Amino acid sequence: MERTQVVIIGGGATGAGILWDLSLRQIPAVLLEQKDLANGATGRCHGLLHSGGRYAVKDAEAAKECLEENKIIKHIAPHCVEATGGLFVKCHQDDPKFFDQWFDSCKHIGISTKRLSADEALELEPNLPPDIVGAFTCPDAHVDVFQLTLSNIESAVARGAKFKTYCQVNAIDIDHGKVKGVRYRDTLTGEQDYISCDMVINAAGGWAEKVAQMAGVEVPVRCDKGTLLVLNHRLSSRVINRCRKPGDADILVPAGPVCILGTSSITVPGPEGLTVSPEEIQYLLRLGTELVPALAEARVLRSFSGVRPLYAPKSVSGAGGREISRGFALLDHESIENVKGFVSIVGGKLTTYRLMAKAVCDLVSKKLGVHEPCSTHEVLLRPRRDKAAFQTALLLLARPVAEKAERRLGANLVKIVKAIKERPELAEVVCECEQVTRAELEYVLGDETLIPAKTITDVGRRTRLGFGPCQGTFCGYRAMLAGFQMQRWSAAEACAQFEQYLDERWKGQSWINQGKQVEQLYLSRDLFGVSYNFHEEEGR
Amino acid sequence: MSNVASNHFDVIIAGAGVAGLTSAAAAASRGLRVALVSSGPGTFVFGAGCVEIQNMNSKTPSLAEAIAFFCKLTDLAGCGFYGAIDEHRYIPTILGSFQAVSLAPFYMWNGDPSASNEVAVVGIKGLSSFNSQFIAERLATHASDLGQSAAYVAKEIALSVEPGAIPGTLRFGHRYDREPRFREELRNALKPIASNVDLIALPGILGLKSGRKEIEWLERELGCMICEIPTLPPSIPGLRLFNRLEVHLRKIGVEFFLGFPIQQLLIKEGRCKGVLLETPGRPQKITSETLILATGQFSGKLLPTPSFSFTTDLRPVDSTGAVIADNIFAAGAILQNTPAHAGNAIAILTGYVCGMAAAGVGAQYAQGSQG
Repeated sequence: MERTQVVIIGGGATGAGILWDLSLRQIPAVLLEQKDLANGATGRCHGLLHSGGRYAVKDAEAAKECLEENKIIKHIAPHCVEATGGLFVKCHQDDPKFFDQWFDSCKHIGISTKRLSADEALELEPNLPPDIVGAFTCPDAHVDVFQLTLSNIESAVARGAKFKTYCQVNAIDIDHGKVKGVRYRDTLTGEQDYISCDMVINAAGGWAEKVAQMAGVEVPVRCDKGTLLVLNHRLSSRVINRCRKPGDADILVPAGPVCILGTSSITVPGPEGLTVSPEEIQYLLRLGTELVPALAEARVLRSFSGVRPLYAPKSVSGAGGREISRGFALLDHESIENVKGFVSIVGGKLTTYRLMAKAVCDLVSKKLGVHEPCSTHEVLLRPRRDKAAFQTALLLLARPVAEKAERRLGANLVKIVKAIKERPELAEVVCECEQVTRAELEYVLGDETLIPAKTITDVGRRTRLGFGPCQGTFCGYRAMLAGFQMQRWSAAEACAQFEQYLDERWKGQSWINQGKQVEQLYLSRDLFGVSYNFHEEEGR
Repeated sequence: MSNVASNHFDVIIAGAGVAGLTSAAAAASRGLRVALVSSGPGTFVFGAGCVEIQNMNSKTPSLAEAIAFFCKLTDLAGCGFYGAIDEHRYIPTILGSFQAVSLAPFYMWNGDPSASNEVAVVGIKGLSSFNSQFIAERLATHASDLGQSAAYVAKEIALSVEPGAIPGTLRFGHRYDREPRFREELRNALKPIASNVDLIALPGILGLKSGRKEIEWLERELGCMICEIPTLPPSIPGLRLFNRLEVHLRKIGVEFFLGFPIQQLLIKEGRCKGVLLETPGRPQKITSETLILATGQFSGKLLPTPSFSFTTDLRPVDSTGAVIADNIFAAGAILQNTPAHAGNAIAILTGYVCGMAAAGVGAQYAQGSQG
């Protein structure tokens, strides 16, 4: 029977951050994730590394946390951050009082900002509406949520920590009011297993309420759905915020080759089975167009939704999604309900994931009698780049391909460089949009990586394969064949994988009812859905 | 008539998909002067243009006639389609499944699992998006599900590649057209495999321009049947079908204006005078007596009203039911959101009907032709 000290439930940024923090304090831990890493709210957000500006007026405390964490993450994970900077833009129809209030609040909190005239702002961001009144700068940035989560896990694993994906916890074993272990099921193989432990940390985000119930305690979570749209170009070089009371579709984040507009805020019953209506997309686009008129002509690649798991104790249950604090809550169930060894961390946001992890780990350390202080604010998440490997990569690959690979792989770039040297055919670019080479595809599907991809969607989260305009129609097929060739999947499994993958990609596009992407979707469906009789039930 | 061709035609056909090409052939066969304008080939080039007639009433007026016309047309063009309205054949796909079709070009027709006992699926070294092992395994499973006993083995051949080039279907297709030595190399590589099987299924690479003569040469040399499996785009069988039809239509007098999107339909007082083409410099105007709109599913914006539908005799009408222009007919996917597997059948039918209507033999064909 497997034995560890701490089991973490949930493989989002917070869970991954906890695993890393514990590993630095030399506390043995295993993380269990029911699907893939960053599959929940972490992978379904803007990827905005807040400067605090968004919360400056309403919630100075949250703003301060963001500001501090913004600096720390830029320092510990530079490979995950694109320090784009951000603007808070005042449109002519917005309340002028809020604009001044915003500036005063930022000054008070310490968020560095500069007032720009309309002309200056338009010079920086020509896609803003010509009739804006002015703008402020701020240190907002884009953070690659997948890389950030993976890097935390990878660093932790290198220090002896363990993680298991596609493992769903189905019982928390409690004996005489004390946590003894966790029972889980591997959802890919169907096998049941058990880990014995002293403590369980519930970092399950939208699923935290469900996990808490297994320990017989209540953790009220309000699931607040946010829908976002991916557009096929960077329509701005900086994060564009609307300078008004936070509302729908008022943030545009440039993210790699695309940009992301969001969000809506709708309370939903739970974190699963989220749907989007064409009206919701039109609504987001209409609002977004007020901020960046070019959105009206832009191509929407797909939509996606996630839930903000907001902590909602009974006292504030009447409030709507945006009224509940974006701050986090650390619940020590030993002191609340007398369940020893069970801790929940809920609420919060991506930008403060490290702070949340620190808070949990401080508490857990204390309970376990470990005196090692937190050091996640200073230890880099991965070693600095391998310059020699990059120079060699430039000889083997086109510069943009090499640069992207290096950003994703860091020091592991040396592994794909070595592979390409041995087998030059691995230099083939299999995903043209995100410039993913066959070598990288085989690396993430192979056994050499610490965090192997188990599905084609996992490959996407590791490499961004399939995130561009074709939405996996071509590169997803190639990824399937790679998995088959590498004997990760049998022919039948590979087909099932591809079917599942395309269904998910199609779903993200199916709510969009206009423009070029519809044609793209039809091409994909023509190729695989119908012409090739992909789904068995449609005849053979 | 002067030697300088005027820009006035009997009929302009907008769109070079299955519907547009069929209607061009039909109109030309009735002696009309035909212009075919299109920004590029139709979407069938992404696949192979196979036709599925399932779910259509075989008694649909003109259907049998249209299908016969299309088979004859493709045969004259050197890429003949086999099949019939009520035929069901299964042809292999790159997912290793079988696609049910009623009509398919001769270079795919033999893929049906009932036609052979021993099949070799042949991949080409370096052609990374075609995995013969994967396809053979899946085809074996699906064939046995269909109650067929055909056995599938996977093979791989190596073909010479120019230094520094990455093997690709487009490159192989071009070489098959241009280089006799490449064709011989391919034959020699396949020869040892051919002696043990009765069908070779290989990725679509047998030329972008080749016709029956060039492809049947290989079958004859090998002494076994060949079936191409269309790959991820660019799909050579799809491009070949377009190229062969274009050459044939030019030969029978159709004039092509390819590569230029239509900027505007010139509609005035309920009549379409012609189209403005987005040519470099300034738009080119061509005029005609009749316009056939076969521009595909996503081309509704060309019509002057935001919402429109079509009458049973294939004329576009606005939301009040008034005919937008009495000399416009519509064919193919613009008519409705058809699922792709009925799409080509409807394209052939409506394309044929529109081409005939333009020649003034419309009424008896057009009635109730939408199946």
